[in-house]
Amino acid sequence: MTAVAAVLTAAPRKRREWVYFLCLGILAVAVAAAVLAPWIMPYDPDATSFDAIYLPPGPAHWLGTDQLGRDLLSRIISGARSTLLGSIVLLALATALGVLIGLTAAWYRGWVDTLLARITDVMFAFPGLLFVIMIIAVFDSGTVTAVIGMGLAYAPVIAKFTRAIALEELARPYVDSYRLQGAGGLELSARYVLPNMVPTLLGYLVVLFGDGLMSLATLNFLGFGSQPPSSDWGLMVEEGRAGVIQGILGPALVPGLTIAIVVVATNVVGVRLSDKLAVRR
Amino acid sequence: MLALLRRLGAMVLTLVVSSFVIFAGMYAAPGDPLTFLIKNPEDRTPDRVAAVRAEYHLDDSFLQQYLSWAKDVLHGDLGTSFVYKQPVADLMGTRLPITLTLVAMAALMFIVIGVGLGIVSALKRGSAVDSSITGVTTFLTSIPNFVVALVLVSVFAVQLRWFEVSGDGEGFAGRLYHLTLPSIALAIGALAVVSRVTRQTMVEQQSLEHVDVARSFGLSSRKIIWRHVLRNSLGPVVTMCGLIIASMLAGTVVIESVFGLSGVGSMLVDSINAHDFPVVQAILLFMVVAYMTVTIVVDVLYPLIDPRTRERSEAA
Amino acid sequence: MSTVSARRRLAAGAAVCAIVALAAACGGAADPSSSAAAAKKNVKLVDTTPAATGQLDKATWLLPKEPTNLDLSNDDANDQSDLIMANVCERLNKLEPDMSVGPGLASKYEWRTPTQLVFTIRENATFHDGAPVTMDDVLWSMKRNSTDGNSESDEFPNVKSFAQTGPHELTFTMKQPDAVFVEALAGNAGLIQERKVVEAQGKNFGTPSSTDACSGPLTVGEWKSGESVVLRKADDYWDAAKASKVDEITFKWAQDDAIVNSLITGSAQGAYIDNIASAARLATSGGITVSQGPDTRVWSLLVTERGGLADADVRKALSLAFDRDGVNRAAFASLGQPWKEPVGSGAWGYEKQTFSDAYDKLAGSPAKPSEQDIAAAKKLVADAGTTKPIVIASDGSSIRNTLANALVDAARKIGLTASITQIPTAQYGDFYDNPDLRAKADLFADDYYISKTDPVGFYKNGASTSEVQWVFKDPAYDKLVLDGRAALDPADRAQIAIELATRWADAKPWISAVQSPCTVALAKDVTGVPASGSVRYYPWAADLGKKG
Repeated sequence: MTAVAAVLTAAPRKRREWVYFLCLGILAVAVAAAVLAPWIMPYDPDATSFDAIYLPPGPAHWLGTDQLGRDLLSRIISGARSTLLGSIVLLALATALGVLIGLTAAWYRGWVDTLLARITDVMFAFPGLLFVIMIIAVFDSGTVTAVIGMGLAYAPVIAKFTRAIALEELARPYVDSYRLQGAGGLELSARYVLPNMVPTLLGYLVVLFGDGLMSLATLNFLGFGSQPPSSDWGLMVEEGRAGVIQGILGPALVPGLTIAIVVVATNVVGVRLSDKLAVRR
Repeated sequence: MLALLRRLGAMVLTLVVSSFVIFAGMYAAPGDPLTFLIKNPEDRTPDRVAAVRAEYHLDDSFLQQYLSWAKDVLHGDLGTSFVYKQPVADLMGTRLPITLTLVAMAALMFIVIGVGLGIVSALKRGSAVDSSITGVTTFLTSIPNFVVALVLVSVFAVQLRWFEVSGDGEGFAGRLYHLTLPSIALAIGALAVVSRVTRQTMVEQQSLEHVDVARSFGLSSRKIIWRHVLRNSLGPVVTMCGLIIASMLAGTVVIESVFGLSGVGSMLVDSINAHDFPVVQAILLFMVVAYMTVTIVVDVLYPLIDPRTRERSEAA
Repeated sequence: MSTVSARRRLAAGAAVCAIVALAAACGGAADPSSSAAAAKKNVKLVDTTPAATGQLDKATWLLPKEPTNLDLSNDDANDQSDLIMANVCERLNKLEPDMSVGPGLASKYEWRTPTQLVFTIRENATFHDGAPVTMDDVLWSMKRNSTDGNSESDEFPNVKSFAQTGPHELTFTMKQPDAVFVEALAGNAGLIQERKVVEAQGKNFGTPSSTDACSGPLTVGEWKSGESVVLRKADDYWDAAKASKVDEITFKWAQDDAIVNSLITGSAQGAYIDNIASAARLATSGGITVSQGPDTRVWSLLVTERGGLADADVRKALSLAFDRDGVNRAAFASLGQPWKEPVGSGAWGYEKQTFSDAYDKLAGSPAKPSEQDIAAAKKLVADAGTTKPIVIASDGSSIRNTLANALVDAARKIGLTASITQIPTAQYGDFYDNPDLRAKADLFADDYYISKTDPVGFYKNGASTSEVQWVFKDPAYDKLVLDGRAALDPADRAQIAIELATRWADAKPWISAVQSPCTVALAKDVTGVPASGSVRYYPWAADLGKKG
């Protein structure tokens, strides 16, 4: 362990880049799997085969099979689609809402700001997971409900972040000069504030993507999100539980580790991105 | 003082709004409560239905129901469970100690180990130890906590049989033993953040002027660490720990489900699946209150730990 | 975390953790088929485990869920309530471990005339508080059990009236002879409780703060809501020969894996395993004895009136192509039994050999479909003409999921299209009552069991007025049901039951899949309890004691 770290520490700067590129590669593979799923899956992810139950990894099934004889590799690949798509939609929703709220609060200040702050405070009072659980309790489990719920839960976080940056940005002298010239809030925000925010926001968003992926997977694990036969990774872990009790860990661990690896990769890439983009600032 | 009162006021307001949102949510949920209250359709005679509707105030307007619920809550009556037909307060009363013990054990673990690792990391900054600590803890945070829980169960309880996973144990010692694995699972996610924040705060502190001054006076390293660096780092670290404990309540939902503990978190999952709305309402309300309590406590403690902020706020 | 070294640390940490996790995974990936085979070999098939020789002072017993209510007449009482209170309460008749019906609080019964059923009540029975079991209590209990609103009131359709006809005699005047009713009196329909104790507690009766009003070998100590239920030996139980061998038994509840772990680590002495797949691991852990006994519980696919399976031939075709053995291996770790009938072998409370032979002769529901089965099924489908796409409802749980997938598989093999729709577990039970829900799927899966050990007790469900099947209506069958109930001679009744079973198999309003035997796991130092489904009403805990 220390040997590996020592090697990495001692390596010249150029070779340390390989970690970043490895993580970028992992993310690329995940995205590629999601996009190319129907063409690269070795088996139909939903094809059950009672003769092939709980097989360990082997030449026919590289990652083994689950309780119904379904190939785990194919399920992971097809699950990439729903898992990643869910996280992206969740993030898009959260960003759109959060940026809107944050910018509005920063631009108008005064009572608008206070009102929005109170609303986001209420949302902060609910730990995100609980808020989504409440939405699920009302609207019943489902992928769409879970994604929308999580999007709403993350919006305040982004709103706060956006507001802080926007305040800083709007305090700059050039904004005042444009305001004097009569430029409207929306135009100013769109043309000047947003573009300057993007670098800082982007790195943060990438890390938030990983976080959102984990939260969504947790929801699916609890049975509140995607429903079978979806091969969403969180759901796969839940379905794998039946095997854990019998000592068969593959169906639960394979999707679990996949989630972990993708999240680590997004963390690394996100951090590096915010470093790089921040420097340019 | 004034700031504290204002803060309390804001908390009360948030609490009222949250309770309203929770109640509205359950009210809006689809499904007729009568199907749960009178399970056997043969029993749904008009008399019985009317009696049940009166008992559960199902015929009152939304606002009336909310107000009567709120009033009951303030008097300690959390309603009656649709599924168990018992007072929710009783149901929660037996399950709350388990959840609280779990959170307390996990908090102890991540504070002691997390802060400890952070200190070691900061002192040995840049070394292999530093890198490995940060690397391992960051990876552990990226593993979803339910996966960690499953691995812990299968490796330690099933394969090695070092621990038991049979809900809660008898007496104090038994309970600690049974909650060891679940609290590890709960604490692991927080380790990385705590150690990192500790490390960073200490690094910042170490580079401040007064530390150099102290060193130039010839103060021993250890004294410097304790008196100057650590004490000044306490502020952000305590805040972080407080926030983590607050959000850990939500984490108990998953951990209790995996380990089969009969705590408040698993009851939340069960009652959602069973559409037992009085219980869902009560638990959500409790978690919101707990969350806010912790954040307020942290806010109150901060000036006590870090006098500088107190002076700043008094000056403000 | 904004320095270059962050990524190095992540990579190093990642490498280590991945290796650790993989090691854990590979260590656990034992060959499933061999371990299942080993498990099956270690499981004993018996009616009851070997008798205990010594008194046991304390035992902990695990349940899958908390009981909801200990008042057995209450609608809300669940299976766990039954299992616990079987030890506390007694009935007119008593169900024995071999699933036959014997005397209970009534020392004997006889049919004086075809419509007069006379019970002789014991004189020496006493309730837990010392009061004797009087005729007043008996009459009051029967009235309570038979009144509308009581969960067992549907067992009394043929009872015109009942009254005390002697100092210790209870007579039921029937509309027609009814053999099934006698069996029902070994279940909760025959529950005898102490009137003044129940009335004194009112609505509180059955909740954690209440006391029991019964006469059995164990009494309710306390129920700590959310935590445990404790039963204690009734010191002056009226039947000294059957006094409880355990002094105190504590019931706790936990999820499957927690139950398995507790048994393995020794913190619990036994459990009736609900999810029998989890018993596979117990069977291969040294020291735990797993036994299975006959029960009436069978997992079947129930056909709704939605229309996709209105044609009986299509139903028969699906049954021919359904891989029951596959389902058994996937969802039950081979510890179930592929089963052709909708009711299990635990229903053979009399004439066992006759029923067993008849079962063997039933056709159309193979354990593993052979080539001929598939060919025959395809022919049935072809002859049926145009078919509609079939929808089966699952709730995402392991067993229902497996059954649904097996059906889709079977359909695919014979040229039909089938798909799965998800219904949340909370709603799933409503399939029986809610026609709107049934309109969403052609089939749903459930594990049905009956409380009476008599196949007629099940096959009455094939009648046109039945509330649990919706596609089979035959007046001849209805008449046969009435005849069955009225056949007081066991041999005659058995023949009628077999006839009913054959007609049911021909119409297939349900496609039966796997029998779930009653499964009990015991720690190495205890024994004695029955392994059969009788534990629903037989005081099983009284037999729990130390092994020799």
